[in-house]
Amino acid sequence: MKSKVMPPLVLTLICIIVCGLLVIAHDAAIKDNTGVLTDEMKKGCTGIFGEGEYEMLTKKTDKGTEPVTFGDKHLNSVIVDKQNKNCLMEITCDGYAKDGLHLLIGIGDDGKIKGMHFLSIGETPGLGAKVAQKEYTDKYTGLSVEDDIENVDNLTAATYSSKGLKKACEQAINLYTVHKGEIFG
Amino acid sequence: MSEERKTLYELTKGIIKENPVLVTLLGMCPTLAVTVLAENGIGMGLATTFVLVCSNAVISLLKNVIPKAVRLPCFIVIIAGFVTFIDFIMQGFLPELHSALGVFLQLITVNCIILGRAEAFASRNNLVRSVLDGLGMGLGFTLALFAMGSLREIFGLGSWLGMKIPWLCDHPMTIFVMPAGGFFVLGCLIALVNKIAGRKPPKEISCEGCPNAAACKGQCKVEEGA
Repeated sequence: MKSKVMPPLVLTLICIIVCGLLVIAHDAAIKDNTGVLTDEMKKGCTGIFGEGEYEMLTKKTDKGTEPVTFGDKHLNSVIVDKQNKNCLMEITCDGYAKDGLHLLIGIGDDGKIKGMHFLSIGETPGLGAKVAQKEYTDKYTGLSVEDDIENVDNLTAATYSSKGLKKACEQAINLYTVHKGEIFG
Repeated sequence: MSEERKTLYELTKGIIKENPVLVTLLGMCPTLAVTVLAENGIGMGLATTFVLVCSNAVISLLKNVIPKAVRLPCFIVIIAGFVTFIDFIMQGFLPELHSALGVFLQLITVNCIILGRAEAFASRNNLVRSVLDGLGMGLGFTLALFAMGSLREIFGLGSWLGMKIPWLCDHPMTIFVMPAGGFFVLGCLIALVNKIAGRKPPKEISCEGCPNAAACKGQCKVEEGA
C-alpha cells in the first residue's frame, strides 16, 4: 500500500512546493510596467522626433491596465507626443526569426514615416540584422499610406528581414491612418 | 586518492577532462544556437550553471525521500522550477539577454547535462560533492560556450563582446555566425581539447566504449565472426 501511495504523493508535494515558490519569485522579479516607457523607448522617441512629452496610450480593462493596440497582434503599444502631434508605433514583426524585428516607427502629423528605432533585433548578426542600419532605414523615411512600400529595395542576403520591415512599416502607417482620431483624441 | 583531492577533482573534472560540451558532447542545441555572440555564451552558461548547482543540491538532499518509481518526473519538476525562476529573473532584470537567448532559456529544462548529472551523480552523492560537480560542469559548459561565442563573434562579425576589431570588422567572415560555422568551430574546439587531454582514438572499438553496448550485448562481434 505504502509503495503505491508514496510515489504520487511525493511527486504532488514537490509540484506544490515548486509552484508556490515560483509564485513568490514571479511577484518579486516581474513588476507591472504597463504604460511606463523604458530608457530604450525614450531614446528612440527623442532620436526620431527630438525632445517632447511622450506617453504610452493605455486603457483600463477587466484584467487591469493594458496598452492600446487596436486589436492588432503586431502592435505592442502606441506612444504619442500630443503637443507636437507625433506618434510612434511599437511593432513586433517576423523577419527571418519569429518576432525578430521589434521597433518603434515614428509617424508625423502628415502621416509620413519620420524614422525608426530598433528596440531589439533577433535576426542573424551580419545578415538580417543589417536592416537596422541607418543607411537602410532611411529609405523608408518620408513614405506614407499613398506610397508603395514594396518599391523599396530588399537588402542582399536579408530578404526575409527586409520583407518583415516593410510589413511593419505598412502596418504602422495603415493603423495610424485608420485610428488617427482615436490616437490624438 | 585522498578525500580532499577527490572533492577537488569533482570541481575540476568538468572543465577539461569531462567537459560536457567538448568531451561528452551533451547540450549541443543551445551550444550551436546561442553562441553567435560571446555575451550570449556567458549568459546561457551562467544560467545553466545556476540551474545545475541548485538542482544538484536539492536532488542530493532529497535523494532518500524521492521514490525510485517517480525519480525522473521529480527531477524534471525540480529542474523546471529553477529554470522558470532564472527565466523570471532575466525577464525582470536582464530583458535584452532574455530576448537574445529566446526559447533556449526555457529549454535548459531538457538539457541532457542537467538531467544527466542529476541522475548519474546528485542522486547518488552527498550535498558538497553534488554542488561541486554541478559547479564544475557548469563552468566547463560556460567556458566552452564562451570560447565558441568568442571565436564566432571575432571571425563572423569582427568584434568581441561588442568591441570592434580593426580590419576584421571590415572583412567579417559571415559563415562563422551561420550554422555551418558553428559546427566548424565546435569541431576545432573538440580537436583542441582532445590534443590537450592527449586523447587518442582506440585502435579497436570494444563494448566498453560503445554507446549501443546495452542493446547489442556483443551480438555485433558474433555477426562479424560469422
